[in-house]
Amino acid sequence: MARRPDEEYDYLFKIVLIGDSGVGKSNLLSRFTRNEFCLESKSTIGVEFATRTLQVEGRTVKAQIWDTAGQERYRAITSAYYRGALGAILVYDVTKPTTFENVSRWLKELRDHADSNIVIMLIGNKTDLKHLRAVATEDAQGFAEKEGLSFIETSALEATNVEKAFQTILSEIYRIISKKSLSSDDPAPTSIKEGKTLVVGPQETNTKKTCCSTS
Amino acid sequence: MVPINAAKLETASCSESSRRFGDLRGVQWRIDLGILPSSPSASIDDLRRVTANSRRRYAALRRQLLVDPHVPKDGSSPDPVMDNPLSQNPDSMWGRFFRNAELERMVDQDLTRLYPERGGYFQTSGCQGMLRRILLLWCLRHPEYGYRQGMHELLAPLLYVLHVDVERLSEVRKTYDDHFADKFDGFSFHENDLSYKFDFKKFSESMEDDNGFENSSAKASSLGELDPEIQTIVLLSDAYGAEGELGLVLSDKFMEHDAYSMFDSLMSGAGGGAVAMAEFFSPSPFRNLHSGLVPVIEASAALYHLLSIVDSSLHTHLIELGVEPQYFALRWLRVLFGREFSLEDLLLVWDEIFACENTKSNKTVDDESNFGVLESPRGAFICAFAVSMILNLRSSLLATENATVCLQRLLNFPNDVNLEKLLAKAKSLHALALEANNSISPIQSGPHLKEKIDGY
Repeated sequence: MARRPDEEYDYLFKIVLIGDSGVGKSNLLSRFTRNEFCLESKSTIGVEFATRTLQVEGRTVKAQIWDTAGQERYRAITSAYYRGALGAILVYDVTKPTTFENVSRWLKELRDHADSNIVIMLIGNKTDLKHLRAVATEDAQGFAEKEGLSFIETSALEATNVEKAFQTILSEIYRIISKKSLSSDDPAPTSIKEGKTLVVGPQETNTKKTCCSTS
Repeated sequence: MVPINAAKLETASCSESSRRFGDLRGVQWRIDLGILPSSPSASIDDLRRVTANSRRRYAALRRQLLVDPHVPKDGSSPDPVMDNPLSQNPDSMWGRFFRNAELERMVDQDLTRLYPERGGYFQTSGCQGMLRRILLLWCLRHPEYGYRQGMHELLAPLLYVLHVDVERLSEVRKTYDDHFADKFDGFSFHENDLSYKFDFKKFSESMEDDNGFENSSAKASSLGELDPEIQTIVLLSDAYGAEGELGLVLSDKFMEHDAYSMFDSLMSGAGGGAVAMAEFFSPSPFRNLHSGLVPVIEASAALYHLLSIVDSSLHTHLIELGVEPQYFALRWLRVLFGREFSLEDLLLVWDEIFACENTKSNKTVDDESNFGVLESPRGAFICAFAVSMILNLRSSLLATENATVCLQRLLNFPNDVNLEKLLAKAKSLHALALEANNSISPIQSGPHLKEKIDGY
């Protein structure tokens, strides 16, 4: 099946969004993929999905983002959820300290279930609520450095740093992937050569989805 | 295609005959959910008595579980050693109080985000308060489940239909004010009987007589000339009937009580017990169903199994892309399609689901390889409806070669869909769904499932 021009891309990256309930994951996603923000959005049940194709380091990247319910920690679908994810965005709410305290629990979940090479970005969301801030930027920055995560503060409401956050993690993934495909003697399972899409489901299905638009 | 035997076909259709209170959805659902007696011979007073009893149970539960340590309970003076705010004892009143507060925060997080697009009713403090208490109590009563996101959206429509019934009642009351008054007077001679040792049987018989609108004798009040639905509403709301005010089947005061019993029944699968919604929130193979799978995953697999029978090419396409059913069915099932349709449409879907019996068929012998959800008419209908939804998106799913895009489509169901058609398709698949367990060994549908089993 020929892919329509608007579906052409060089890379397909899967990213998961995690973090406590109510920190604004779904709104970060809708801001990034549709430039929308909804003050009265419903809580996510299970998983929701969105995609956006954009330029990263001169390449066309299709980002497919899986957004889970914050409460889905015990999740019935854990391992499948992280399967094939190259990046994880871990969100907390700068006005709610408990959501920041729980970040380490989410990191543990990532380490238990996701690929060990997954790129993780920590996001402190809701910076627009200045008078309610309860987690200092420096604390989160320090924590991120200690854990080896990239870190940024955002406001999905004001559209501050959202684009930048996604660009950063996508570039980071791109750099790792392209480095990997250079060292050809080490074909790590998650590495993606140019022109191939990332396998989302079981391994045996990937032959069908080889991208046919590049050469 | 699998041969379907004719006998099954008949049992498969959800019984339409028993829809006695079809227009009063809150009453009909209470019957369908096994709270009110379903027998057509049950008198209005029977309904009233059952109603009163279930409300008593709820009131007792609320007294028992919703603690406020600031207000000492009558009779028992608090023990200051154990019952102080700094007590480390988890069983102390304060310990329970703080635990409840934590649970309440979690529930509120979702309730404030309930049906934001509708505003109005669901965001009123009265409605929020009822929903909060019901969820708190249910979760305290079922600590093995606790609160899970989505439960609030299973509950909200239940409270809503009760609310609509009560609105209908007050409308009728305004229009037919005279008849309500007449009715009260007509029943005043029963007043002595309303004492504690009231002979219910005798009373209901005399009620039947009064209700014998056809053989209108001297008592042929003008009530008998009214629309039967209005008559029913008047009778269900007659303050002089059995159990007095507590027995008013349509009652603004006891909506919370009634919604709780409906929710509890829906969650724990009271009655037949086949489909218990709570299981869809369970992270483990709770009742250790046949397959050892987490219930919601097993049910998701069941609907793919049905899809494979109905439309194998679409099924293959989805499997090849790696679109695992639980990715979308988790939400479909947990809130029983609540996120996929507008509330008005959802009520119609639930009408059909609840109209199906929730009893397991005993016919299945080879339990090991069966999907539990397909064993009851209700579960089979739920799967049939889900498959009908997938089929509705058939061409758009076949046209995409990307799993995430498929999932996006499945979870953004078009809102201009022809619901009637969707339901008709589901009904046509219902018999097949009930039969699906008998066709080939189901729990072998692909390596992805096996993997799940190992994962837990």
